[in-house]
Amino acid sequence: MNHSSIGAARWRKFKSSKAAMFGLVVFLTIAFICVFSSQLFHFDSNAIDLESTLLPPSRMHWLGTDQIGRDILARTFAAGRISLLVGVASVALALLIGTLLGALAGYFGGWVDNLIMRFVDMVMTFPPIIVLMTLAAVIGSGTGKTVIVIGLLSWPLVCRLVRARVLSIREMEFVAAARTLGASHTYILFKHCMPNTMDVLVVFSSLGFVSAILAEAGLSFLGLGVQFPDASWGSLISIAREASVLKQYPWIWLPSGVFIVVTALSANFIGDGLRQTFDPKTNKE
Amino acid sequence: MLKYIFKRLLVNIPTMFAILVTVFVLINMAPGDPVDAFVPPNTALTDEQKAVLRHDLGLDKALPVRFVIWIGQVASGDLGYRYKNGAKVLDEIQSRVMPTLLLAFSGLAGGSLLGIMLGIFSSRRYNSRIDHLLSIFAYVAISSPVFLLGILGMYLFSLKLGWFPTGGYSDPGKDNPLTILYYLALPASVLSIQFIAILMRYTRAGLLGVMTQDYIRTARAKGLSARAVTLRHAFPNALIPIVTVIGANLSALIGGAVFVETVFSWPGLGMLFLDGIESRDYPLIMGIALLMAMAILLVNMLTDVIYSWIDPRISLK
Repeated sequence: MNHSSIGAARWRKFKSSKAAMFGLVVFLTIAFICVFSSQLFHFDSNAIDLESTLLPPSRMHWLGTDQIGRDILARTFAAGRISLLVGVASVALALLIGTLLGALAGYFGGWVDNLIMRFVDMVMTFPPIIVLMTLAAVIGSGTGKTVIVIGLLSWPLVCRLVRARVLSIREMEFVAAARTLGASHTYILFKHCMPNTMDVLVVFSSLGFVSAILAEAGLSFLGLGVQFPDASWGSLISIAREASVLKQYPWIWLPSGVFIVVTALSANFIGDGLRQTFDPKTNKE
Repeated sequence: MLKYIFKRLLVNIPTMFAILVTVFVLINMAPGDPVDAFVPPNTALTDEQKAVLRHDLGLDKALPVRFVIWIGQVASGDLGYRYKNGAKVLDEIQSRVMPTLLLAFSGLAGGSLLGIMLGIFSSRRYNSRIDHLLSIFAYVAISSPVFLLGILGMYLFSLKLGWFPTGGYSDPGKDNPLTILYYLALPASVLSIQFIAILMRYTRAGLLGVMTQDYIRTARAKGLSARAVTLRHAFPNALIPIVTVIGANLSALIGGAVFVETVFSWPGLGMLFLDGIESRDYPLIMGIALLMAMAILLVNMLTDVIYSWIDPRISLK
């Protein structure tokens, strides 16, 4: 089996989708600027300047300043770094929990499967935001805790996907062959089942990332997510809950709104591209 | 049919019980002393006074005992009292149900209608410029947080154009329909945007899938108009996935209501829930979570029943 040629073929296929490539370029650009924002911009995101508060966009402050004179451009990208970080970390957490429990449920079946999957069904009954808010009330708020809250919300979907895949792999002949050769459960799970769930996990990661940054934004908007002194795109938008800011100072909240939408949009495009890339039905070329 | 409904009802009982247990356990794991919620921030209570208060509220009993007591109360329609102001949870919820139902149903009805219509429209103009534009709209809509849509809507239509109020609610029991609509229009539209986008995409995809079937070619060969072919022959067969999507997204719609209510100060369950979360009002949080779970299980059941009504083959399984 030649892995590099499969990878190359998939990349060719991914590349052929204009929307996916557009999404990838936009996403990487935003991620790059956010990560290196403190080196790229002249202003510090937390520097207070009471001489220049609530300035509209100008040559000096490209996106204006807020109530205590902080530069909005620098703040928006610093907030983006937190938003992206929470997105990536909570997807990683969801993958960890979901893959583990999903593999257990799918591989062993029986009461293990029943117990895990009934719990999954139940969590997925509730509107996500209700689960998020309840978890936030129990676990607390702040950047790290928000990662845990969103991770705990998102793993059931991973669990379902992995279980379904492991369930079908388990019955395949090469697994039966491995078992007759005396392979242990752990060996079969990690060497045979897990590699075959990669495609599902890759697709989930991109689309789950979209849900995660939207969830973080929602929590922070309600005041239950990222807390001062950190700020995320959601918490910058929540400033607009004050009517005067909403009406008179749109430059404070609008950029964060635009960046959330553009980031989620590009990640959605990437996700759809990946889904087509890994879908055997579209593998005709 | 009745037997089928009854069976679905029985299947949902274990799920309901699991929900009860989880909500209860989760809420009781929360850090922070709920007794503190009764005390004004600047007054210091002695430990004895706190203990008395804790006893009065039943917070000193063991968890399983409190769970059994709670289940018994719930079964008799008593959801307990709010920590915050001592009001009955059931009364509080009842006073907020109507606004949320009004908001959610208008969003659901308007959104379903518009989403299906746009889906049919864009499938009939497959690959045209307007089809592409609608696709872009759908992508942007599902990539936007609901509260951002709310804020943008308020900025544009209330603050800049002055067409709608920035918030508030008009009681359907007291005011005339026009006043109700005046307050309802913007929040309901905001709530339904994502619903419209998702439904439109599924309707379009469903119709495009059905359109290649042989019976469509037959209908065309009979000389039926394109309109009759789409509406009478293709649409009913594309309806199953559409009902699934409506059912599956209803819980997202209810979740979206939390944000819409917060943005537009709409006095519904979502705002009450946020209030409960902020003040760690356990009985209130449990009461609302329970109600939502029941509502959603009910909707899932309803979706199943609608399936068997649209497609008689399903009820045989």
